[in-house]
Amino acid sequence: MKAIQPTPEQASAFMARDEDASIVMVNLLKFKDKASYAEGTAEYGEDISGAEAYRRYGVEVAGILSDIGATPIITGIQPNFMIGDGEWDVVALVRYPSRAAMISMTQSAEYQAIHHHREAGLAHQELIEITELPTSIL
Amino acid sequence: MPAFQPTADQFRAFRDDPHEGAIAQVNLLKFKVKAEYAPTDPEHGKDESGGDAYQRYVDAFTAAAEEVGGTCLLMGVAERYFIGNGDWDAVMVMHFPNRKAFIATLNHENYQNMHRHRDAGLLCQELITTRPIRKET
Repeated sequence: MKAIQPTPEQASAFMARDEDASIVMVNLLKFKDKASYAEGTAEYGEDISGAEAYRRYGVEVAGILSDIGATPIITGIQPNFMIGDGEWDVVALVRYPSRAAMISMTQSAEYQAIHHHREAGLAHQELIEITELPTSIL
Repeated sequence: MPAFQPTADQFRAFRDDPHEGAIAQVNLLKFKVKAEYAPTDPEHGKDESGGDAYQRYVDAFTAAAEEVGGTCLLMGVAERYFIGNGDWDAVMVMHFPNRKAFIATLNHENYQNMHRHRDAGLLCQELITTRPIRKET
């Protein structure tokens, strides 16, 4: 259940859909207590929290999102479960102009260059693709 | 672990949190396959989905929230899990200027009336209260 990447089946199902409609991606994020940069990265051995490593990713990815026309809707921190319970540290919502835009972003060299911060900081996450409903569907 | 209502402790923790700023209420929602209105409800016996019933609640709750500065940032259906996997049908996120505004919405004169749509449509949920650090709408 716990994952940091899509499975091949998830990736191909995502890509097979209509690529022109806007989507919202809901990120439910859980960080590592301590960042774990891979050997060979410049940050290897740094003694920082997983949240701090992921924050570096977040700062960089914000610029990339802006370049592709994606809009951060909200990032919510310091979660408290008012109904049910769970373990997420952060909830982040991003609206993408299309699936194609998101796919090409994740494949870009710019994105690949910052991805090690995400891997260093993230314990696991869920990423839910949302199709927005009009104010009322009735 | 999903649930249907806050526990008494969860509600008190929300109410008594000294944080005065804005909150974003993140609702992860699982609907009943078929709406289940009570026999006394005017909608009783309608053949519709739980999601359809819950949408009535969303519309009424959003209207009540807007009276105290709340806004619905997102209401949409979960197409798929791109990473990880879970069972949520929909996600609704509402922004409130403070937690008192959320409580005021729960105490809105229409709340008792709108609540039957939530009861009819919702199977279970998680509600995560967060502090927004970015809002660009």
